[in-house]
Amino acid sequence: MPKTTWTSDGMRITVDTTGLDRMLARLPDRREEYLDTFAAKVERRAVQTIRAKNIVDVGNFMDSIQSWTPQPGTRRIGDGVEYGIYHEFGTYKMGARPWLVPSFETEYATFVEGLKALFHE
Amino acid sequence: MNEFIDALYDKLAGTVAVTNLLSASTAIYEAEAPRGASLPYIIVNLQGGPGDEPANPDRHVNHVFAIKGVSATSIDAAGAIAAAIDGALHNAALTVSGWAVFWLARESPLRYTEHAATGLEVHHAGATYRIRAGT
Repeated sequence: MPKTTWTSDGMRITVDTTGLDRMLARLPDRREEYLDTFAAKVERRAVQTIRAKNIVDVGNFMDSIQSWTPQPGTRRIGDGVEYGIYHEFGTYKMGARPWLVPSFETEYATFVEGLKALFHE
Repeated sequence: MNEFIDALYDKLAGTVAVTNLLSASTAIYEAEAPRGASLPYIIVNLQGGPGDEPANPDRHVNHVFAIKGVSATSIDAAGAIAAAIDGALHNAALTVSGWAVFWLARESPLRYTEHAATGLEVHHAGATYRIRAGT
Protein backbone atom coordinates (compact mmCIF):
# COMPACT_ATOMS: atom_id res chain seq x y z
CA MET A 1 0.00 0.00 0.00
CA PRO A 2 1.19 3.58 -0.57
CA LYS A 3 2.72 4.97 2.55
CA THR A 4 2.42 8.59 3.58
CA THR A 5 4.98 10.04 5.97
CA TRP A 6 4.56 13.39 7.67
CA THR A 7 7.91 14.90 8.79
CA SER A 8 8.43 17.45 11.54
CA ASP A 9 10.62 19.76 9.43
CA GLY A 10 7.83 21.37 7.48
CA MET A 11 4.90 20.09 5.54
CA ARG A 12 6.49 17.39 3.50
CA ILE A 13 4.87 14.27 2.36
CA THR A 14 6.61 11.18 1.21
CA VAL A 15 4.48 8.77 -0.68
CA ASP A 16 5.81 5.31 -1.16
CA THR A 17 4.02 3.88 -4.17
CA THR A 18 6.05 0.75 -4.65
CA GLY A 19 3.16 -1.39 -3.48
CA LEU A 20 0.71 0.51 -5.68
CA ASP A 21 3.03 0.25 -8.67
CA ARG A 22 3.28 -3.48 -8.11
CA MET A 23 -0.51 -3.78 -8.03
CA LEU A 24 -1.00 -1.63 -11.11
CA ALA A 25 1.65 -3.56 -12.97
CA ARG A 26 -0.14 -6.83 -12.51
CA LEU A 27 -3.67 -5.46 -12.87
CA PRO A 28 -3.88 -5.60 -16.69
CA ASP A 29 -3.66 -9.40 -16.70
CA ARG A 30 -5.87 -9.80 -13.69
CA ARG A 31 -8.31 -7.21 -15.08
CA GLU A 32 -9.09 -9.27 -18.16
CA GLU A 33 -9.51 -12.41 -16.10
CA TYR A 34 -11.70 -10.53 -13.64
CA LEU A 35 -13.87 -8.99 -16.36
CA ASP A 36 -14.34 -12.42 -17.92
CA THR A 37 -15.51 -13.81 -14.60
CA PHE A 38 -17.88 -10.90 -14.05
CA ALA A 39 -19.32 -11.08 -17.57
CA ALA A 40 -19.92 -14.81 -17.12
CA LYS A 41 -21.77 -14.11 -13.86
CA VAL A 42 -24.03 -11.53 -15.50
CA GLU A 43 -24.63 -13.90 -18.39
CA ARG A 44 -25.68 -16.70 -16.02
CA ARG A 45 -27.83 -14.31 -14.00
CA ALA A 46 -29.54 -13.09 -17.18
CA VAL A 47 -30.43 -16.65 -18.16
CA GLN A 48 -31.81 -17.26 -14.65
CA THR A 49 -33.85 -14.07 -14.86
CA ILE A 50 -35.29 -14.98 -18.25
CA ARG A 51 -36.26 -18.38 -16.88
CA ALA A 52 -37.67 -16.93 -13.64
CA LYS A 53 -39.78 -14.40 -15.52
CA ASN A 54 -40.98 -17.13 -17.83
CA ILE A 55 -40.01 -15.25 -20.98
CA VAL A 56 -38.52 -18.23 -22.72
CA ASP A 57 -40.15 -19.14 -26.02
CA VAL A 58 -38.42 -22.17 -27.45
CA GLY A 59 -35.14 -21.34 -25.81
CA ASN A 60 -33.63 -19.40 -28.71
CA PHE A 61 -33.59 -16.20 -26.71
CA MET A 62 -32.10 -17.76 -23.59
CA ASP A 63 -29.53 -19.70 -25.59
CA SER A 64 -28.46 -16.56 -27.42
CA ILE A 65 -27.28 -14.69 -24.31
CA GLN A 66 -23.54 -14.23 -24.53
CA SER A 67 -20.68 -11.96 -23.56
CA TRP A 68 -17.82 -10.88 -25.74
CA THR A 69 -14.74 -8.67 -25.74
CA PRO A 70 -14.90 -5.76 -28.20
CA GLN A 71 -11.57 -4.51 -26.86
CA PRO A 72 -9.33 -5.17 -23.85
CA GLY A 73 -10.85 -3.80 -20.67
CA THR A 74 -14.39 -3.95 -22.04
CA ARG A 75 -17.03 -6.65 -22.00
CA ARG A 76 -20.40 -6.61 -23.68
CA ILE A 77 -23.26 -8.83 -22.68
CA GLY A 78 -26.27 -9.20 -24.90
CA ASP A 79 -28.58 -11.40 -26.88
CA GLY A 80 -28.59 -12.69 -30.42
CA VAL A 81 -32.27 -12.28 -31.24
CA GLU A 82 -34.01 -9.16 -32.46
CA TYR A 83 -36.70 -9.24 -29.79
CA GLY A 84 -34.47 -9.20 -26.71
CA ILE A 85 -34.80 -5.43 -26.53
CA TYR A 86 -38.61 -5.76 -26.71
CA HIS A 87 -38.52 -7.87 -23.56
CA GLU A 88 -36.08 -5.52 -21.85
CA PHE A 89 -37.87 -2.26 -22.60
CA GLY A 90 -41.31 -3.27 -23.86
CA THR A 91 -43.34 -2.64 -27.00
CA TYR A 92 -46.34 -0.44 -27.55
CA LYS A 93 -48.56 -3.38 -26.70
CA MET A 94 -46.48 -5.16 -24.08
CA GLY A 95 -44.90 -3.97 -20.86
CA ALA A 96 -41.20 -4.52 -20.28
CA ARG A 97 -39.93 -7.69 -18.65
CA PRO A 98 -36.39 -6.59 -17.88
CA TRP A 99 -33.79 -9.34 -17.91
CA LEU A 100 -30.47 -7.56 -18.46
CA VAL A 101 -30.49 -4.45 -16.27
CA PRO A 102 -31.61 -6.31 -13.12
CA SER A 103 -29.03 -9.03 -13.77
CA PHE A 104 -26.25 -6.50 -14.15
CA GLU A 105 -27.38 -4.53 -11.12
CA THR A 106 -27.53 -7.62 -8.93
CA GLU A 107 -24.03 -8.75 -9.91
CA TYR A 108 -22.49 -5.29 -9.88
CA ALA A 109 -22.37 -5.15 -6.09
CA THR A 110 -20.15 -8.22 -6.08
CA PHE A 111 -18.05 -6.71 -8.89
CA VAL A 112 -17.08 -3.75 -6.73
CA GLU A 113 -16.33 -5.95 -3.72
CA GLY A 114 -14.24 -8.27 -5.88
CA LEU A 115 -12.31 -5.37 -7.33
CA LYS A 116 -11.52 -4.12 -3.84
CA ALA A 117 -10.28 -7.58 -2.92
CA LEU A 118 -8.12 -7.65 -6.04
CA PHE A 119 -6.39 -4.46 -4.95
CA HIS A 120 -5.85 -5.77 -1.45
CA GLU A 121 -4.22 -9.01 -2.56
CA MET B 1 -41.89 2.22 -4.98
CA ASN B 2 -45.08 3.97 -5.97
CA GLU B 3 -43.85 7.22 -4.49
CA PHE B 4 -40.92 7.31 -6.90
CA ILE B 5 -43.15 6.59 -9.89
CA ASP B 6 -45.56 9.28 -8.68
CA ALA B 7 -42.72 11.78 -8.30
CA LEU B 8 -41.40 11.05 -11.79
CA TYR B 9 -44.92 11.38 -13.19
CA ASP B 10 -45.41 14.74 -11.46
CA LYS B 11 -42.07 15.99 -12.69
CA LEU B 12 -42.73 15.01 -16.29
CA ALA B 13 -46.40 16.06 -16.31
CA GLY B 14 -45.37 19.40 -14.86
CA THR B 15 -42.88 20.12 -17.63
CA VAL B 16 -44.53 21.83 -20.60
CA ALA B 17 -41.58 21.04 -22.89
CA VAL B 18 -42.40 17.36 -22.29
CA THR B 19 -46.19 17.40 -22.37
CA ASN B 20 -46.26 19.52 -25.55
CA LEU B 21 -44.84 16.53 -27.39
CA LEU B 22 -47.41 14.01 -26.15
CA SER B 23 -50.92 13.10 -27.33
CA ALA B 24 -52.23 14.48 -24.04
CA SER B 25 -50.63 16.12 -21.03
CA THR B 26 -51.49 12.99 -19.03
CA ALA B 27 -50.08 10.52 -21.55
CA ILE B 28 -47.44 9.26 -19.14
CA TYR B 29 -47.87 5.66 -18.02
CA GLU B 30 -46.23 3.23 -15.67
CA ALA B 31 -44.99 -0.05 -17.19
CA GLU B 32 -47.36 -0.11 -20.15
CA ALA B 33 -49.91 2.09 -21.82
CA PRO B 34 -53.61 1.27 -21.51
CA ARG B 35 -55.04 -0.57 -24.49
CA GLY B 36 -55.83 1.87 -27.28
CA ALA B 37 -53.83 4.74 -25.77
CA SER B 38 -52.98 7.38 -28.34
CA LEU B 39 -49.37 7.82 -29.38
CA PRO B 40 -47.12 9.55 -28.61
CA TYR B 41 -46.74 8.87 -24.93
CA ILE B 42 -44.16 8.22 -22.23
CA ILE B 43 -43.57 4.96 -20.40
CA VAL B 44 -41.86 4.86 -17.00
CA ASN B 45 -40.71 1.43 -15.90
CA LEU B 46 -38.70 0.19 -12.96
CA GLN B 47 -35.89 -1.86 -14.52
CA GLY B 48 -34.19 -2.96 -11.33
CA GLY B 49 -31.42 -2.12 -8.95
CA PRO B 50 -29.83 -3.42 -5.79
CA GLY B 51 -32.48 -1.55 -3.81
CA ASP B 52 -34.90 -4.16 -5.08
CA GLU B 53 -33.51 -6.70 -2.69
CA PRO B 54 -35.82 -7.56 0.19
CA ALA B 55 -33.05 -7.09 2.76
CA ASN B 56 -32.72 -3.34 2.73
CA PRO B 57 -32.65 -2.42 6.40
CA ASP B 58 -30.93 0.92 6.00
CA ARG B 59 -33.73 2.28 3.85
CA HIS B 60 -31.50 3.19 0.98
CA VAL B 61 -32.85 3.13 -2.54
CA ASN B 62 -30.78 2.66 -5.67
CA HIS B 63 -33.17 2.10 -8.54
CA VAL B 64 -32.88 2.19 -12.29
CA PHE B 65 -35.88 3.36 -14.31
CA ALA B 66 -36.31 3.16 -18.07
CA ILE B 67 -38.12 6.26 -19.25
CA LYS B 68 -38.91 6.56 -22.94
CA GLY B 69 -40.98 8.38 -25.48
CA VAL B 70 -43.03 6.19 -27.82
CA SER B 71 -44.09 7.55 -31.19
CA ALA B 72 -45.52 6.19 -34.45
CA THR B 73 -44.27 9.22 -36.39
CA SER B 74 -40.51 8.71 -36.53
CA ILE B 75 -37.49 7.82 -34.46
CA ASP B 76 -36.65 11.52 -34.42
CA ALA B 77 -40.03 12.33 -32.92
CA ALA B 78 -39.40 9.75 -30.18
CA GLY B 79 -35.92 11.21 -29.80
CA ALA B 80 -37.36 14.68 -29.28
CA ILE B 81 -39.44 13.33 -26.40
CA ALA B 82 -36.32 11.64 -25.03
CA ALA B 83 -34.48 14.97 -25.13
CA ALA B 84 -37.33 16.70 -23.32
CA ILE B 85 -37.39 13.97 -20.67
CA ASP B 86 -33.67 14.40 -20.28
CA GLY B 87 -34.06 18.15 -19.81
CA ALA B 88 -36.63 17.56 -17.10
CA LEU B 89 -34.85 14.80 -15.20
CA HIS B 90 -31.09 14.66 -15.66
CA ASN B 91 -29.43 16.05 -12.53
CA ALA B 92 -32.75 17.58 -11.49
CA ALA B 93 -34.14 17.83 -7.99
CA LEU B 94 -36.90 15.34 -7.29
CA THR B 95 -39.29 15.56 -4.39
CA VAL B 96 -40.41 12.20 -3.09
CA SER B 97 -42.56 11.90 -0.04
CA GLY B 98 -40.66 10.29 2.82
CA TRP B 99 -37.33 10.22 0.97
CA ALA B 100 -34.33 12.47 0.42
CA VAL B 101 -33.31 12.03 -3.19
CA PHE B 102 -29.63 12.79 -3.65
CA TRP B 103 -29.11 11.39 -7.14
CA LEU B 104 -31.17 11.50 -10.29
CA ALA B 105 -29.17 11.09 -13.46
CA ARG B 106 -29.37 9.64 -16.93
CA GLU B 107 -27.22 6.58 -17.57
CA SER B 108 -27.65 4.69 -20.83
CA PRO B 109 -29.62 5.88 -23.83
CA LEU B 110 -32.06 3.53 -25.53
CA ARG B 111 -33.38 3.84 -29.05
CA TYR B 112 -35.12 1.24 -31.18
CA THR B 113 -37.90 0.74 -33.70
CA GLU B 114 -40.49 -1.93 -33.31
CA HIS B 115 -41.98 -3.50 -36.42
CA ALA B 116 -45.45 -4.58 -35.39
CA ALA B 117 -47.20 -7.44 -37.16
CA THR B 118 -49.76 -5.00 -38.57
CA GLY B 119 -47.00 -3.26 -40.50
CA LEU B 120 -47.01 -0.37 -38.08
CA GLU B 121 -43.63 0.99 -37.06
CA VAL B 122 -43.42 2.26 -33.50
CA HIS B 123 -40.35 4.14 -32.34
CA HIS B 124 -38.96 4.15 -28.82
CA ALA B 125 -36.31 6.55 -27.48
CA GLY B 126 -35.27 7.45 -23.98
CA ALA B 127 -32.75 6.39 -21.40
CA THR B 128 -32.25 4.63 -18.13
CA TYR B 129 -32.17 6.91 -15.12
CA ARG B 130 -30.78 6.07 -11.71
CA ILE B 131 -32.37 7.36 -8.55
CA ARG B 132 -30.57 7.12 -5.23
CA ALA B 133 -32.28 8.18 -2.07
CA GLY B 134 -32.23 7.66 1.64
CA THR B 135 -34.50 8.38 4.54
